[in-house]
Amino acid sequence: MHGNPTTTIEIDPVVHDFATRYFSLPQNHTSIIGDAVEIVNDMQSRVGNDHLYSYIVHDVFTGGAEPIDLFTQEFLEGLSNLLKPDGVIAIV
Amino acid sequence: MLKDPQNYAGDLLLPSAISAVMTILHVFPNCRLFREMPASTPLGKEDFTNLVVFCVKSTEPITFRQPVESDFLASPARRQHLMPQHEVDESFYGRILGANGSIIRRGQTKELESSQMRSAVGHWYVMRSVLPDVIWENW
Repeated sequence: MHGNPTTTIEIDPVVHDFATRYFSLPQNHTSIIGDAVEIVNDMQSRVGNDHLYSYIVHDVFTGGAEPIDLFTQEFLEGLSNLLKPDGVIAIV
Repeated sequence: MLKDPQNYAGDLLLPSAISAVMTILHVFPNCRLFREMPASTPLGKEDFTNLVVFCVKSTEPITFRQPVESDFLASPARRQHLMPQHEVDESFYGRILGANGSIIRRGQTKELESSQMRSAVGHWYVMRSVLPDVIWENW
């Protein structure tokens, strides 16, 4: 399924810039630059199924080590709260 | 930092990777796990580093429809990798339960972070075999 409204969260603005300039990142999406722990926490106040996500992709790279803050029970529960009841999360 | 490369091999079976998988399965009990490559050996270091985990909140079985041409967007890479292929077997879950890991809680990550330092050293030891040192040092 293509063409879903997409939100990306990326902590490093250079990564987003390079993805756009060199890797053809489509521009028709909502881009949030910042720490996903804070952003997902801020999003917890969302209510209503319309504001939840059908798909969440958790794909982070820091060069040899997972950012452990993005794998805590609390962070993953926060993602679960943002997922529709019939939504899917893919963790890479 | 890279003076002691021979100690990295065992450390790539990361407590942090095992704990990450345990935590994912704790929060999302309904998941399917796939490797990037087929399992050629018993659980090895690469098994934890190239996983994709699909989870849902419902109790419905997770299924994947067969891809059609329009899914690939004319990308050979998508054609090759879009459909998950190498699912972990039942013994994988037993190994996780028996492994040295725990649910990761916010504010309790210091010990895992120090184990990751050893892993990062090992990771960059491998990366320096892929491209010469001078490339990384000038990057």
